[in-house]
Amino acid sequence: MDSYYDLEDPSDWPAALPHLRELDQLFRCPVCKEYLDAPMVVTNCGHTFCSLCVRRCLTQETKCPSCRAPTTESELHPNRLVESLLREFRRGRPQLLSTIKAASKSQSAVGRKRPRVSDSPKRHDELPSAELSNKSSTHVDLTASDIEDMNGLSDMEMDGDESKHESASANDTDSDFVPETGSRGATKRNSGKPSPRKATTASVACPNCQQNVRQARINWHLDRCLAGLSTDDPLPAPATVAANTRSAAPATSTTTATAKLQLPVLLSNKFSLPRPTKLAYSLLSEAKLRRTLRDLGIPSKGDKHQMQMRHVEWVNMYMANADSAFPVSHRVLLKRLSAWEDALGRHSDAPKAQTLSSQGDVAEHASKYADAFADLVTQAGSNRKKSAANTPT
Amino acid sequence: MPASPALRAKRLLAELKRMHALPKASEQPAVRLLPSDDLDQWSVQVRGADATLYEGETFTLRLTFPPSYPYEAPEVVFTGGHIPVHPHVYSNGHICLSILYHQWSPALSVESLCLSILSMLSSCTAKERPPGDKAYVARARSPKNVNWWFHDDAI
Repeated sequence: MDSYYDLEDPSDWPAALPHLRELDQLFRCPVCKEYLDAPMVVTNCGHTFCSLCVRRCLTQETKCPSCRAPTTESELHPNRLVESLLREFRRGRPQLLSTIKAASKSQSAVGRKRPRVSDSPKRHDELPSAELSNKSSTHVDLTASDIEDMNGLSDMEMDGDESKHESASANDTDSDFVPETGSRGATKRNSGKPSPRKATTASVACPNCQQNVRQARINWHLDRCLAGLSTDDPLPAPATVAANTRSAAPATSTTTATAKLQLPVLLSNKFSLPRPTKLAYSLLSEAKLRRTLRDLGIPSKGDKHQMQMRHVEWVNMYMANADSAFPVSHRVLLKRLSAWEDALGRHSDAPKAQTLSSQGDVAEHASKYADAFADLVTQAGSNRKKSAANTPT
Repeated sequence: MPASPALRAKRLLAELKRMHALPKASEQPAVRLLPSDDLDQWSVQVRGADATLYEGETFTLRLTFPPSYPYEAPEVVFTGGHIPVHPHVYSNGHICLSILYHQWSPALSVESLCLSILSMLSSCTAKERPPGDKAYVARARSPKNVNWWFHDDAI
């Protein structure tokens, strides 16, 4: 659980910037108060929530949580623009915050030297908005060194992102070599032209989603991006692999062959579980529900009520994951389901545990049931003797 | 259905932070969170708005969050010695307000609840107890187990 002070909150922004506070607030889900995760818009009233939050609400009551307009899940649609806006906002947030902090510090330090900045509060407002629209814009009243700082920061940020991305794909050992093959093919084709600084890692911004993508993968990325598909999958589509094989040097063809063999397996592993549907639990027998859960590939233990709750949550999780621009694999989703259930179990056990929480209670309990404990101890002792006597014969 | 405990804790922390960040412009803010060690039960002090029947009075609200919060409403009652005399507030502190019961929505928050209660107080025209107050108080236990009948939209 996050600690109180680690929470990102609209109050992180200085009170002098109410618009940024409001912006931060608007990017949050009214239900969980976190940044929107896979934002979904309710089409008949226009309110936006996290996919999982609104789905959980709708399983309770088929009404929009904000305005109580009657709503069903079929009226939910992904809010792509909000999703991209929020992604960029969150990327720039730490940088923007530190820039504002540094700016306000230097303002108070050299306030007299730069009266225009410190005198008008409007300038204060202009700084972040200008920075959002264009990082190197010069019409803000800042010194050249400030702008250099900003650019330096943004470069650092990008490099950081890139290296994070690299290490993420490097961790994914199964699939690491496939993009490598692709980029090698691309470098070979580009060999006539002056090669970029870092040919294998040179990245370009996708014209559709502005995400930085490795040059060699931009075509594949763009195809998926325009089709509205997930673009975080490190594997290029099979067609791309085949095309690269033809253009790649013979030395790499062996690795590509292995990739071809593994590709269908990998893809089928990631999203292998069937799409669950809502069920009329009252019409299902316990055995039938258990069979359904087993067919869906989720745990089928517990009584009917537990299975029902697990199924409801699984349907919501599964659908919310499908709504996300960066869906996680079903293995991860199953782990989340079991974590949810574990936490739920702990939560419902908590009041029972509390009855014996203090030392006094424990002592009282021990003295009250001293006879029962003594009986149990003697019983256990005699049982052990019996089993010890039985084993040699 | 119980909410995800992680979601509940995160949301409560976020609301706590929001309550702490409320503007403290005046010496006596309209809504003030009283210090507490318990994340599941909060006390909030509300102050009667100026130019209303409750001007200058302060009341304490106790909010208890169920395990399924925010999908289920918190239990909200007035506590302490000073219960407002209001046609929708019983003398044991129970409040007849639809958004605390079946009209609750997860999109509401502690802040919006307190402001709604404050607004309910502000629109009052005559200080009186609801009819049947004594009979209700004699048998009522938890306000969430009562079948409320919301008939008065004026206040």
